[in-house]
Amino acid sequence: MITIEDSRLIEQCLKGKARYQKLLYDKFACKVYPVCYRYAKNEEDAKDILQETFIKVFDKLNTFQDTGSFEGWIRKIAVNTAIRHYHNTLREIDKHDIEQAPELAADESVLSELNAADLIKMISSLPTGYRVVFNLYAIEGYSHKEIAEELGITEGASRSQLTRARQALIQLLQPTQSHYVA
Amino acid sequence: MSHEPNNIDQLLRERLEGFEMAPPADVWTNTSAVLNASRRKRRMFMWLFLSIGAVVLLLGGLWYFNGTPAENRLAKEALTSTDSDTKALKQVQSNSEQAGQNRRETAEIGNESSDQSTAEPSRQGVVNPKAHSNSVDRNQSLATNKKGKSHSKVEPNHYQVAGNGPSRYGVTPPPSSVTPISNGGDHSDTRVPMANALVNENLAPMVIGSLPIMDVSSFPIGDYSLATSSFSKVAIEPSSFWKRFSVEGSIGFSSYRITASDPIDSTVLPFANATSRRHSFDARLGVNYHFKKGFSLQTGLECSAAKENYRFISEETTTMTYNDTISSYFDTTLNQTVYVIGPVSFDTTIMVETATQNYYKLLTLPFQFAWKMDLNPRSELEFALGGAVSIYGKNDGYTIQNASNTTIPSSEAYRTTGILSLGGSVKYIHRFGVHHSVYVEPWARIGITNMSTSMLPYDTRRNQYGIRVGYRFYF
Repeated sequence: MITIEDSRLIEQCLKGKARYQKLLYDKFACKVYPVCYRYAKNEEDAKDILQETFIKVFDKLNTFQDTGSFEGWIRKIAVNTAIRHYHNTLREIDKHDIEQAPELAADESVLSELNAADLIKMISSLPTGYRVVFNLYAIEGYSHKEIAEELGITEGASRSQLTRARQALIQLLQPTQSHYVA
Repeated sequence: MSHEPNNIDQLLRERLEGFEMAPPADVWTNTSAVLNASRRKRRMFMWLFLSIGAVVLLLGGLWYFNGTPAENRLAKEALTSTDSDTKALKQVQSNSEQAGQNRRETAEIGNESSDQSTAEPSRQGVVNPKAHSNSVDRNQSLATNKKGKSHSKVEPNHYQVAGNGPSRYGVTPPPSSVTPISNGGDHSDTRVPMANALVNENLAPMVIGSLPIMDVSSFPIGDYSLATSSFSKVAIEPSSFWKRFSVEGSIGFSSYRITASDPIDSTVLPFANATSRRHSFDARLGVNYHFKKGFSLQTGLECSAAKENYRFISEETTTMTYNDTISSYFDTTLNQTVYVIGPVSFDTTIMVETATQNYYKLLTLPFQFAWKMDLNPRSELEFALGGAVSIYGKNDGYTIQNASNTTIPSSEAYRTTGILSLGGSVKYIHRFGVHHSVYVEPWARIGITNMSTSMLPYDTRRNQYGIRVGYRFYF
């Protein structure tokens, strides 16, 4: 269920009132931008994904059903936009299984020293395939089967990319290597 | 330390949950530009659709009121006069005694009375002076005037003409024939034979087919004269000075885009670019003077109520508003996009409320020179070129509030400005008789200058267009 405030915002935005569109953007952009940034290679791509997301939001606003969270609906559009934005790149994902690498665990102490913005940039620094699969699985909660359908890859490829992503992140979080390219 | 291989998923998920990050400012600028372009496109299609609809209506009206080809041919035949008839008609015009005789005899048709001095002239349709030869049924009565008053029986001294074609009213007119009617041997009657068209006593006004014609002999000669028009060789034109005036009232709808140029004083108005879209309904009262040959000079007074949405794009995080006591509403926002309603003066340090919709009072003095082209006896097209001086001002007491809610007195915010615009129009006029007509007129104007008298963002009104429907009364 959406709040009365959001309901009014949506109602006025559907009438095409520019001012209310800005208000809606101001309210949700801050929450959606981190999502876009996680999927983006850099800040420019993140901005493009965010812009495209909100254009779609206003375009499809009349299809929003008042059965769930409005923020969740926008977030879903952002994720889909991010996926479409890198679809060509995703086809280049190595579909072969990777060699088994020594499994490492994340160092929580290092993690706690990093703020959320840094963590997002760290995720963003991953190679494209790793990044998208990790975001979809670990953050958005997609299953490998769903990821495979979305990205047009096999479930095996999804699993391998996820493993690689985790390894890469853990490497970045190691105390002796706690740096990354922002 | 956890050794689960996927503990990083959970750790990151927990750290990132609910995290907010402000996007760069240009994201919204680009997004709103796309949204505005989409809005403009939708409006453009709407205006295109309305324009097409107006053109279809206009063409449909032309087709409908123009009548069938047969009716038009009959009308043209009825209106066409020979050279000898034209000379004869002009003879009537200059012969006042003959004119008096015409009036008396028309009013007393059938009564053989000679002291009729208050003949009610028929003012319908146009004259048909053309003569044909055929027999005449003396018992056929003249058509009635608008009051249904019959002019009595056939005037034996008039030609009679009728059409052969199908009548729109479902009445078959008499056979096409006109004959010089014997005046019973009274050779003192020096009137020029003029056609007195008669179709059917059940029809009022007189028609040929579906087109009205008039008994010109019953016209108050001196007020009107016979002249040529673009459609027919003979038409009625007022010869009296006062009869050449017409007045009209109309209502219209218009829309135009306003752009603001660079301001004179950038400390007053830091914004360089502004756009505004204005929709308005207007009412106009006009006075026209009709010269000969279809030319006329038109002027009037036009008032309008409008809805306007200004928008300035600015680098400044400044918002502003003004309060029109007539009608307005307010919302509060603070953002990069500034919504300005009307011409206001403000300080860049002022942070005020904004409003996105408001109403104006606008006074316009239109002026134009027009030329009309007759399409048929009942309708004409009028082409006009001219312009208007538009004056608008706000003295209703609007306020500007700064960040500390201090109100700036409205006297400091009063503004007046004037705009000169030039444009043209095409008016389709349908006449009901001599005096009355209705019209539809699409028009367009281009704003050419801003005669501002105050510290205003100079705005130039551009691309004005609209459509008007109205009524005109000819004296």
